[in-house]
Amino acid sequence: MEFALMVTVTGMVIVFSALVFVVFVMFIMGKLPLDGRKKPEAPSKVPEKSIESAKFAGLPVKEYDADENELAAVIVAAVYACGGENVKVTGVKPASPLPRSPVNVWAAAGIFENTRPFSI
Amino acid sequence: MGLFRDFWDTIVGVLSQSGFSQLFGNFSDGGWKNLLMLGISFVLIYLAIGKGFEPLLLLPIAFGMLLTNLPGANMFHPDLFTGDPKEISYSAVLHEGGLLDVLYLGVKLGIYPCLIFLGIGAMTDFGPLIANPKSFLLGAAAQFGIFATVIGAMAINYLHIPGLSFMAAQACGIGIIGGADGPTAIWLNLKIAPEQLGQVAVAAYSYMALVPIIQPPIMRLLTTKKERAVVMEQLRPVSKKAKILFPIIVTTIVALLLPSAAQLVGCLMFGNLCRECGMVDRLAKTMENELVNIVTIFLGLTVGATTSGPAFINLRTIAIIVLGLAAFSCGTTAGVLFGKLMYLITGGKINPLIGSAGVSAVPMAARVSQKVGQEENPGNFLLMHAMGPNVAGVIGSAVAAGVLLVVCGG
Repeated sequence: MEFALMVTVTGMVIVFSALVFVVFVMFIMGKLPLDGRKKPEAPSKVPEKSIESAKFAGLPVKEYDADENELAAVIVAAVYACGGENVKVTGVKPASPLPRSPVNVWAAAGIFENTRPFSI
Repeated sequence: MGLFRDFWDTIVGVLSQSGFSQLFGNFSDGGWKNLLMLGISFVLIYLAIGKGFEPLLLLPIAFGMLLTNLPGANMFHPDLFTGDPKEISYSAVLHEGGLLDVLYLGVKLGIYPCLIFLGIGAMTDFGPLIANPKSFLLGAAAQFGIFATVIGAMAINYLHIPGLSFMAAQACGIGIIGGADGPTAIWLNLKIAPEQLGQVAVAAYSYMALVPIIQPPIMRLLTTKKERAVVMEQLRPVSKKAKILFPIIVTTIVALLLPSAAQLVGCLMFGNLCRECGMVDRLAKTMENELVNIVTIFLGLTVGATTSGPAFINLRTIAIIVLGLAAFSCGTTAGVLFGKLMYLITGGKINPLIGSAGVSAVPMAARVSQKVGQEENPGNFLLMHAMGPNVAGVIGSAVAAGVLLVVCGG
């Protein structure tokens, strides 16, 4: 039994020591500018002139948040990249959760993407 | 009349040599053990196909079990492999053995576990672990199940049960089941306790397949609703350079600290480096797909083939299976309890459920953390946070195996 206790104590100390040392090295790596990170810039706002111009032209304008404008632009660009000129985007709206599933579709897609190599 | 007699004698001769005759003719003499193992193989096949419990592992093992327990088929000859791998007569294996005997050489020589680790490394994204290095500690904590089982196996000796005692090396070989890592369990046992390789391998892979059943009750028992509902902060992005440096650094540090773990950790990290560097995509894809699939087929079939009834059904096997369950449970418990400690230390920022993913059943244990977390909070997305301890557990179990190998003098 002394052997078992010795193995337990020794084993846990060595496993923790090895991994703590790796954690320390990872911590140092995290502080290094390995990805050329810069300070995040302040988010740019939609210039008010574009909204004013649209109102002057009599067009219906809903004052979207800057993030929604950018998100819509990204989604339209992605659809164009996949579907080409034959696809016309008529609207962008948030997706509802899958029927009978409380999981958000993006969350489900993330789960699938990250576990795909382990399943066939 | 003579023709009829010859015909009848031929039929009787064929039937007397059939598997049915050997199975039921020797029923009380060991035939019932083959029958029992056939039944177990049918159950495992059902679990793999019908219930989807890790079919990639369970189906080859179950079918190997089926093949080896068909009397008279002689698909596998365990007598060719008794004892130390250095004493195997390879010419006898090649001349007298069959397909499964030749394929089993990969297990006996420790080749398959390292090849599978190549594939696992190529499949694994260490990003969540690099982004949150604290996950390493959860991966380390979950390895307590290994060592607690060594204590349990040695404690059985004090019960003085006839025919049931474990030497130190055998106890360590059983304890590694708690690492929830099939290749590591096989690799360690063939070095320190080859006589129990089949039993440990079947126990290890079977429990890996049963993680979704074993872990959730323990996780719910040890955590409160408030703890299970904790939403963790989004992980920071990890640069490509960091992902490339990580396998090189881990291999160097771990191999220098514990050279006995270099085989497994080195293969794991080489596979990962091939994946992350982006310069050898063909190699990484091969490791991730063809290589690991081929080796999984060979390993599963041959490990299953070691489970013939007379060799498998005995008190030691039952003890190994019970201890294996204890190892898994202890590992899960230790991981969750350490997760609770980190929850307290960080002021509620870490969800204790991710601690259970420290057992290295990748990615099933992480999926279980995700599932249990979502039961409390449907919007909680714990998978990527749980992948950190999950892959840390692979490294931790390889380090633990290296420690046991050194201690047992392998």
